[in-house]
Order: sequence, then structure tokens, then C-alpha cells
Amino acid sequence: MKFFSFRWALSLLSLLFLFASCGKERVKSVAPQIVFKHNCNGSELQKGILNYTNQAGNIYQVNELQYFISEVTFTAADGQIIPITTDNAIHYIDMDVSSTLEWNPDDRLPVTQYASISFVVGINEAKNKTGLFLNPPERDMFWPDIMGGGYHYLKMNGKWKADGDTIKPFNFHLGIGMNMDGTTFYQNYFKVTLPLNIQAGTLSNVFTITMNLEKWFEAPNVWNWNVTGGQIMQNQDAMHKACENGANAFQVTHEGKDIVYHS
Amino acid sequence: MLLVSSLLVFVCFSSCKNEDPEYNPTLYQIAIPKFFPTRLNIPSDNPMTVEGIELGRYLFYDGRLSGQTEPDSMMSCGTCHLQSSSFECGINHPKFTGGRPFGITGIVTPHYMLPMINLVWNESGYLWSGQISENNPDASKRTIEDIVGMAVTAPHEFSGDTNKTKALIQSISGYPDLFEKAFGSRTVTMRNISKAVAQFVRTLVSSDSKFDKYMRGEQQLSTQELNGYVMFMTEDGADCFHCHGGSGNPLFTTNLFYNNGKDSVFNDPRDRFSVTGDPTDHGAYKATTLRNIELTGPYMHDGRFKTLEEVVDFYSQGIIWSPYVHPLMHHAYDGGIQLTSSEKADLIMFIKTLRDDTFLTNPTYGPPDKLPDGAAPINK
Ligand code: HEC
Ligand code: HEC
Ligand SMILES: [Cu+2]
Repeated sequence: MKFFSFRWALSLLSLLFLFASCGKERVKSVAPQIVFKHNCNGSELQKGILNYTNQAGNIYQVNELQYFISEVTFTAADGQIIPITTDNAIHYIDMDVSSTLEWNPDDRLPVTQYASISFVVGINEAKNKTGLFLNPPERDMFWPDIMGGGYHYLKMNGKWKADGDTIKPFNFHLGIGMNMDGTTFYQNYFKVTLPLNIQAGTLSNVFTITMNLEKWFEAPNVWNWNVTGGQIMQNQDAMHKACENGANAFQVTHEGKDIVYHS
Repeated sequence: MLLVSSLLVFVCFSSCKNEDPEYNPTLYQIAIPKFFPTRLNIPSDNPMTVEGIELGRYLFYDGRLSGQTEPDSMMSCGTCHLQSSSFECGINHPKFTGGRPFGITGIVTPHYMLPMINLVWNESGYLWSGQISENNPDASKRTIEDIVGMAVTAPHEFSGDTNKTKALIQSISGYPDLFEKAFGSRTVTMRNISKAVAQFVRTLVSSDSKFDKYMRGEQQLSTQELNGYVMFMTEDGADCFHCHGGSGNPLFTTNLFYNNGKDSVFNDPRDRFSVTGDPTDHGAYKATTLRNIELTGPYMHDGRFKTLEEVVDFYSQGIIWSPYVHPLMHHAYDGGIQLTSSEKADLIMFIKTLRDDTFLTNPTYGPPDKLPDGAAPINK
């Protein structure tokens, strides 16, 4: 028993030493939190209710929304770039799974003025390979190998009122595109940059990224389900247009909440 | 430095371990097959051990788990869950005509059977409705352990009494020793019975079908099978992968719940809606694994299809559109995926590559030669 407590003391001591030796750096930083919200032209998204109308006049509903945001970076006013690296810099969001709607990466944000935040919708080609995620829920985003592999960037599943008032299902799925004969693949992921304007002295640590679903269907390409049909995974032209629209689908707000400084 | 200090902490813990020579079970590690999930659904209070699994296998195949001793009335898990039918009873079962099982008293099970394959990777709920899951507010309905107790008492299964089962197992020579080795106590409890059986069920891993061998680069698929595979895996083809998995999900199930368009009216009190209360879940059930599917007819929760041909005809032309159909059934509005007869044949050829004979004949999954007291196991 004596020997036991001696060992404890020794390991505690060495731990203390460890902490002490890290305390030299002076830069203060905060822990960022990224929150994800979804709405349709301003009203909070309600699933499974046929009450949204897009630019083309399609009445539609959304049942499921799942997607990846990756490579989040913060750009300071002086040009310094701070990347979020936690979780291989990829975060999965499912509107039905509340734990995915808040991301608390381990990275620290230095205290400084920030000009913008950037992120990728989807996953870049260096990382988007089948086998990256073996466990659910991310695994269930897999994109078939024969269609380029990796993972869906986004799945939005719903229904729309088609001609003759018939309700039809749609699968708005984005990922690696393919030409007709399967010889060329297209990386459809895209980067979004949003201004932050964080002034000195008003530091923020909570960043809320809001997706306005309606924007996926608005501009530059007016999206009409009656024209595209309910499935687009093998329609590179449609996926490309969807991604052009998606670049306008996000907004960011920021606030300082219970800031804990780290030295 | 961190390494040194954590090493010290580790040394300290191991030197303080409580050692009881009587109870020293050997931890059992599930070997995770290539491409399989790395996370396992094993409750922290029931780690798998070689001794626990051995005991669980005896109990799984012991008709006295039902609390009965008369040869005509005894029933084991293996009465309904047969290895040769991927742990379903199969459509040609001698007693359960048409593959619809019934319990000791003759009451039929509310639904048709589910296989027992790779259940250790299911995180989203057991049974057709997924009722048995971590999210169940009732703490006695969350794990495979809980299903064991339910099977003992359910009127459509053993229709028994856990006290009677417990006492009977306690009285059988050999069992108290096995309980001691597995759990450190000779006293048989329902909790330990359940734990042992659940450990055995978690060992049932299928990862050696022709398709697995193809994925590992060990075997080639035929042209027809490859055609079927491409259909299975493409949205403009048969589009089965969104719900049943495939190249990126070798379990061949998402373990999630969907309404796949079989009816227009839904009033089954045991569908997914009964668990979630979410109106979009009316008529939704678990998309079962397609591994060994050729052996597990009849198909669907209500056994409405006898053959895979009937199932594929259904997905091709027979889907009934209703507001409850899951949007992933995007061909539903047109009645189905509209395959030609040769496409249907190819699709079925591919699905049959998911048959895993290694699993179906693995001797450690089947009944032991004899039960602990020398009695015969029940496996039919
Ligand atoms: C009378 C036949 C019968 C007997 C006996 C029986 N089962 Fe079952 N089992 C079923 C049926 C039918 C289902 C599907 C139930 C449902 O979801 O409605 C099932 C489902 C299960 C499942 C869930 C599988 C999944 O994928 O979710 C497990 C686990 C299971 N049984 C274990 C056992 C064990 C262990 C025993 C013995 C203690 C046992 N069963 C005895 C008929 C039986
Ligand atoms: C929208 C999701 C979805 C899609 C897409 C889908 N399935 Fe299913 N599948 C299910 C569900 C859910 C069940 C169980 C339904 C029930 O029992 O009522 C099921 C059941 C089955 C069964 C019977 C399983 C059993 O154990 O009885 C087979 C076989 C099957 N599907 C094959 C296919 C094939 C082949 C395709 C592609 C043509 C396909 N499925 C597409 C969701 C889906
Ligand atoms: Cu898709």
C-alpha cells in the first residue's frame, strides 16, 4: 500500500510538471462552437409538412436533411487563417439528430479581429473516399463506388406537388458526379465564404450557420422539380446547378456567450 | 512526459487489481471484419467473455429455458432461430407452416421472423419496430439481454415465468459451475441468463459471402451478378442501396426504418410509429439485412411474399403510393422501378451473392453436442 501511494504521488507530480511547462505561451484563445440551423425563407423548418413553395412555384415538403460541412476556417483581419482541424475537419449534420446541430471542436480561436468564416459543403477529393466513415450515422451517407465513391455531400428527401396535383417523392442528393458513360467524375463540393466583421473587443465564440433551404431552388438556377424529376444522383448537370444555388443557401451570425479564455 | 506519467498511472492500476482465483473469465474480442463498423453495441455491464458465450450457447439451445421439462412442450431459442436458415425458422419449417412461428401455447408471433446476423453492429433498435433500443424510456427494453427475458415470458414464445426458468436451470447439473465461471456466482439469476444468451447472440457474425470475397478481391462475380450489383447500387437502376446498404455499408442494412409502400392503410400497433409517435413513421419497419436473404422467406414483417421473385416483382411494379411512403422510394409514384424480366433475374442473382455459407455452417454458432447435464439440445 505504501508503495502504491508513492507511485500515485510520483505520477501526480509528473502531471503537474507537464501542465506547468505548457503555461509559457501568452496568447489568449477561446473555444469556438458552431451551431447549425435550418429554415425556409425565414420560418424554422418543419418536417413532413407540404407547405413550402419554391421560386418555380412547386409546393414541397422536406422529410429528411443530412449533410457534411468540412474545412471550416476563420480568416482574421490581418489575413491569418485559423482552420478547425478536429474530427478530420468534417462535421455531419442531421436535422433530426440534435447532437449533430452543435459542434464543439477542440480547436482554439486566438483572440483577434475576424473578417470571415469559410467552409466546404461536402467533402474534398483528398478525403472523400469510401471507408472514411465506418460507423453510422456518417456511414449511411456513402455514395456508391461505381458512381465515384465516398459520401453524399447532402441528402434532402421530400415530396412535391407535381402536375395534376399528384404528390411525388424527391431525393435531392449531391455528391461526386459522373458523365453518362461513367468515364469522367466531377467533384461537386463547393466552398462558402461569409463575412464575420468581428471588431476588436467584441469577441465571439458561438457561430450559427443557418441554411435557408429555399435558396437551393432559387438562383442562379430556378429549380423546377417537374423538369429535373425526383432523382439527380446520376444527373451531373442538375447536381452542378444545385451546387451553384447552394453557394447562396448559408448565412452566419455570431455572438459571445459565456466565453472561457484559454492561455 | 505525458507518456511517462500515464504509464505510471497504468502500472499502479494493474498492480492494484483484485484477484479472485475462482472467477477469472477470459475476455472475448469480436474480430472486426474489413469494412465493418468499428463501434460495437455491447452494454458496459456485460463484457463478452469466452465463458459467458459458452454458457449462452448452451442456454440458447436448451429447451428447459422455457421452464418446461416435457419433451413435447419444451422450446428453446433454437426452436425458432435456426442457424441453417440464418437464425429464422425458414419457410419450409416442419412445424411452423409457411414460416409463421408460434409459441408453446400455440399463439402465433405478432410478426414474422428476423434473422440474427451482425446484431452487435445494430445501434438503432432491435425488432421490426426498433422498440428495443437505448432510447426506450423503459429501461427494461433496451438491449438484446432484455429480449431474452421477453422471450421467456411472451405468450407467443415460451409463455413462461422467469422464476420457474431460473429454478429449473439452477437444478440442472453443470449449469451452476458454468454460471460461476462466467459471472462469479453459482446462483442462477434471470439477469445472468440474459447476459449469457446475449453474449452468444453477439458472436453471430456474417462477413464471408461471395460478395464479401469480391470486395476483398478474392473472388469475381459473374456478369449477371455484376449487372445486378450495378442495378442495386444506382439511383436510376433498382436503387436498393439507400436503405439496404452496399459497397459503403457491408451490413446490407442501415438498421433504419422506412415505409416501403406495401399498403395504403396502416394500423399495425407494432410499426415504427408505435415507437416514435412521428406521423411520417406510419407503416414503417426496419429495412432488414439482405445477407442470407434467400434463406429467410417468407418476406416482410407480415410474411406476405414467399419468394425473392415476388419481392422483386413488388419493388418493380407493385408499390402502392400513399402519403406515408418514404421519399427514398422515389420510383414509387410510377408503381416501382419497372425492371424487365432479365433485369429482375440479374438483381436476384446479385442478392444471392450475399449468402454466407461460412456463417450458416460455423460449428460454434450451432448447437453443442450435449447440454451441460448430457441432455440433447433443441434446434428445430
Ligand atoms: C416462437 C418463436 C421464437 C422464439 C422461441 C424466440 N424467438 Fe426471437 N424472434 C422471433 C420473432 C418472430 C422475431 C421478430 C419479432 C418482431 O420484431 O416482431 C424475433 C426477434 C428476435 C430478435 C431481434 C432480432 C433483430 O434483428 O432485431 C432477437 C435478438 C431474438 N429474437 C432473440 C431470441 C432469443 C435469445 C430467444 C430465446 C430466449 C428467442 N429469440 C426465442 C421468434 C422467436
Ligand atoms: C425506402 C427504403 C427501401 C428501399 C429503397 C428498398 N427497401 Fe427493401 N425493405 C425496406 C423495408 C423497410 C423492408 C421491411 C418492410 C416490412 O417488413 O414491412 C424491406 C424489406 C425487403 C426485403 C425482405 C426482407 C425480409 O427479411 O423479409 C427484401 C428482400 C428487400 N427489401 C429487397 C429490396 C430490394 C431488392 C430493393 C431494391 C429494388 C429494396 N429492397 C429497396 C426498405 C427499402
Ligand atoms: Cu443518394
